[in-house]
Amino acid sequence: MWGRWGVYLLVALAITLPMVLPVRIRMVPTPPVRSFFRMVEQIPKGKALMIAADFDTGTEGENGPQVEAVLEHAMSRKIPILIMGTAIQGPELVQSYAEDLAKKYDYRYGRDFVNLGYLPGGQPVLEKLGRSIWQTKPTDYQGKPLSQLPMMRRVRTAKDIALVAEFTGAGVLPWYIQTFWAQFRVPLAQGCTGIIGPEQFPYLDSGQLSGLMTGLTGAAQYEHLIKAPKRAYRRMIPQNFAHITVIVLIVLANIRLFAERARRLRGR
Amino acid sequence: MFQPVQDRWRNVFLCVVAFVAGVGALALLQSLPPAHRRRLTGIVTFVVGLYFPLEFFYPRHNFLTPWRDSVSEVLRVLAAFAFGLGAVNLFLIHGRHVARRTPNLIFSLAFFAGFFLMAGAGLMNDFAKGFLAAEPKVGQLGFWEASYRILFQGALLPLTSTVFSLLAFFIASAAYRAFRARTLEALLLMVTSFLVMLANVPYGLTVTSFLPDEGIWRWGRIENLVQWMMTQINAPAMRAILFGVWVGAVGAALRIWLSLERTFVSGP
Amino acid sequence: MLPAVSETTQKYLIYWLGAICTLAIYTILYRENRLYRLFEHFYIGLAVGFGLYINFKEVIYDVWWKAMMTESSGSIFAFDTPPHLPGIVLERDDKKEGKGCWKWDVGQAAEIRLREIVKEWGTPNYLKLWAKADRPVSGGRLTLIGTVAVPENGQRGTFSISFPMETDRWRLIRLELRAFDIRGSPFRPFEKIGKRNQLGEVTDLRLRANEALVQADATIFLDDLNHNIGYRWWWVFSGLFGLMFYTLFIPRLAWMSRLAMAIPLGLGSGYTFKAFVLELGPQIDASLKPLYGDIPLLRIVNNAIFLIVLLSVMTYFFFSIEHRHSAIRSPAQFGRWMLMVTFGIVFGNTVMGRFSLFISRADFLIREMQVPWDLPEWSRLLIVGHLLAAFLVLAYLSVLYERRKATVGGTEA
Repeated sequence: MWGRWGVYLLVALAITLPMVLPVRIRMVPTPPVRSFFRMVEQIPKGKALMIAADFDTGTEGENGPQVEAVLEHAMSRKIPILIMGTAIQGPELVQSYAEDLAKKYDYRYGRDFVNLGYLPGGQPVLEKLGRSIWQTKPTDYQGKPLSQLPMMRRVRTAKDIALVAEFTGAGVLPWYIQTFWAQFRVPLAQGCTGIIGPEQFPYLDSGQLSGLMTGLTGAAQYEHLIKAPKRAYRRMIPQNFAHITVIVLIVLANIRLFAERARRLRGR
Repeated sequence: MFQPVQDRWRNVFLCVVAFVAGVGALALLQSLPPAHRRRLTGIVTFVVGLYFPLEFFYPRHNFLTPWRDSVSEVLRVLAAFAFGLGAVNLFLIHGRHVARRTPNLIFSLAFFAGFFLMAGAGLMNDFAKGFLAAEPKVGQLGFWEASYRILFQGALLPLTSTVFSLLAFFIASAAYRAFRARTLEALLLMVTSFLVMLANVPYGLTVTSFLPDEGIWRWGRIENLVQWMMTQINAPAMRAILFGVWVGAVGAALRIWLSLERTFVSGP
Repeated sequence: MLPAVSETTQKYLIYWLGAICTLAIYTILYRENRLYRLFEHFYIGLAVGFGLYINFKEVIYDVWWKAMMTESSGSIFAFDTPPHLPGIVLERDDKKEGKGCWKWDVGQAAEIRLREIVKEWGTPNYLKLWAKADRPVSGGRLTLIGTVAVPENGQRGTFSISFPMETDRWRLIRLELRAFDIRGSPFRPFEKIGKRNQLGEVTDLRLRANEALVQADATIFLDDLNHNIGYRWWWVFSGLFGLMFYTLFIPRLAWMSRLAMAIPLGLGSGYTFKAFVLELGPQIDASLKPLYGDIPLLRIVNNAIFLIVLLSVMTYFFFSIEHRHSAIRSPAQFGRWMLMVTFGIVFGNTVMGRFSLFISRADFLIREMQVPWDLPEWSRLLIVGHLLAAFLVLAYLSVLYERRKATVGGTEA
């Protein structure tokens, strides 16, 4: 019991203490994050960025800063943003980030960004969305008809979307690969949680995925690229200490293992 | 046969007739022997399962194409209806605790409180914003909107993400207790995980940052090494897993489609 | 009357309620206790309530109920904005819907063209238009002409219909799409107007007045052009199927839930074959990497490593029964090592992810603390620490209480 509590206490201290320390760090973006950045940078004028919020509040700590960084980038470039999600709570979360950032970049709901809300049903529904956004979701997340939202006049089908940025903590990327990428030729970029990050590399290799941001580190690297260090950057400082703590814990445990083994050998 | 009607009352009449006819058909089926009903379920699965492959593998825009929108709509509605299943189950469990006043009563009441507060605030905010609520002034929010936001951002979001964040403690404790380099496989696992943990934080990168970022030396730098492992070892290994998963998925789909999956057709 | 809430109050409530919820959950790290269980149940209730609410609002009501109980109309043109066209003015008083209507002097322009219309009409069956003339005109007729285009093949066509315009009272005119006269063949087979009428890319709409109206120098009022599908009563069946899921709880009727489940499961398994082609084709394609030719040596080496890892891990998987022959055993062994490296990568990333989630909570508690005065960060840490200590004491008391109850119950028994 005490050993477990000791580990817990160590973890808690390793994370909370650095939060109050004045520490500076430098992020080095990886190639997949750079290509994510480039994809957003290359969105032509008049085309929209679709944010697929496929995460719930459970992984908000990882996906949240990622979405915020991409939203900030898109807003600084005046790109129209379309929000939807196949997870129940995702669209609501992204809406709150967008509303916070909107003040800074003079973004207005309906004119510059629209939230379509929750879209269950998997690939067939995404396919229909690509064919016609208006038919799949004639109203936004608050039940307002799309005809009352000026941005939607220019955003009707997958052709009007230059990039789908998908954020998730679960393996729903294949849905978008099978529909938006394979059937409508819309490039995809993904922000995913750490645990499913490695699974996405086959898609990066085949070109089905054009950019990838993994976990909080990915978000901090993206913030570094858009030169707006915020939430993710600030949280990377305790993240440093957390990783070091885990490495130290594993090394200690192994030293104990070898010490015990050595003692046993000597005893024999 | 399925022509939309233009008159409201005729529509209501037809709805009632269709509902009664549907229930009648189910009552008839109820009188069939179970083996026949099982066969019916199998036939429905098979026929319905033909739709997507036929529509897709037949050259473009065939006689099935116009139905794809309706099919996706049906899927979406069924997915939404199915969500209630879990809720009903929880209602039964907690309802029993409340009715029998078991020692779990207080927890079940907390469940119902959370449920009705969240669903109620959401529905009121969408469908009856002004009900019993004072008109908000500038810088204020109406009662229902405010309570919806407070419950979502102040209770649901922190509770879910906190529950998920407990895993940080558990993984640290598990790493301390179980991560032992007893075999070559375990050693490989440990070394790569150390490298990845270091590569994911800026402090980890400082370990090798004295090496020049060019020529042969660049492969000694952790960020480049890990990126290489990600794309040259992780990507093909994950792709091999993906192929395996797909073989399994197609097998499972065939089993369901051809009703070879006993538990589904005939129940547990 | 329930009071309105100011944004500052809301911010405070969100933070402090959130802090209480967060710290109460963390008491589990001490031990399973009643405080934790209380908040855990509250959390499950909230999550289920939110899920049901969203599903009801966005699907059950928005998709199902509206299809069944409304005409599923969509606006094509609202006639609410100033026209910028000769012969037309915006009329705000004598309108039928919305903010205004158009007053069209036929004598000045016998034909008007609407460009800023909604292009995607979906699958409508009829259009509805509010219209009237300023005085009765016998023999007056209007013609509505639409232009459609198929972006894939560039073909264009028109559809038109003529309807009487004789009265001076507002009248809702229904125009059946089946009755339209169609010229050109811009439609794909099976997607013709009136049959399975997928109507997209309607580029413009024209309204033309006939001789009688022109000679009478009439003025026409136009308002709110809609496309409608109509009430679709058969959606009752999908509701019925949806309700059949719930027979799961009644053993005698449980077969119905399996029958209902057959639809999503059947469709899903069918889609798997389609998905296989769409997703896996490029994956296989990308695996055939060039090993010779006009490419740099480093690429060749990397491609070779990629292929070796891919094939050896596949060998490990697909010959998982017995690795007796050395031609299979050694690649399979190598594949196992490569899998271990991969799992090491996954583990490293998992550690990162799990910690990020905890850091986000700690960051919320410390950095996003809402207090009316300015506090240095270390004192916020102290406040949170004290709060956590208070919660842990509560948890400790609850564990003591349960233990005592258990021993009392034990002696009674």
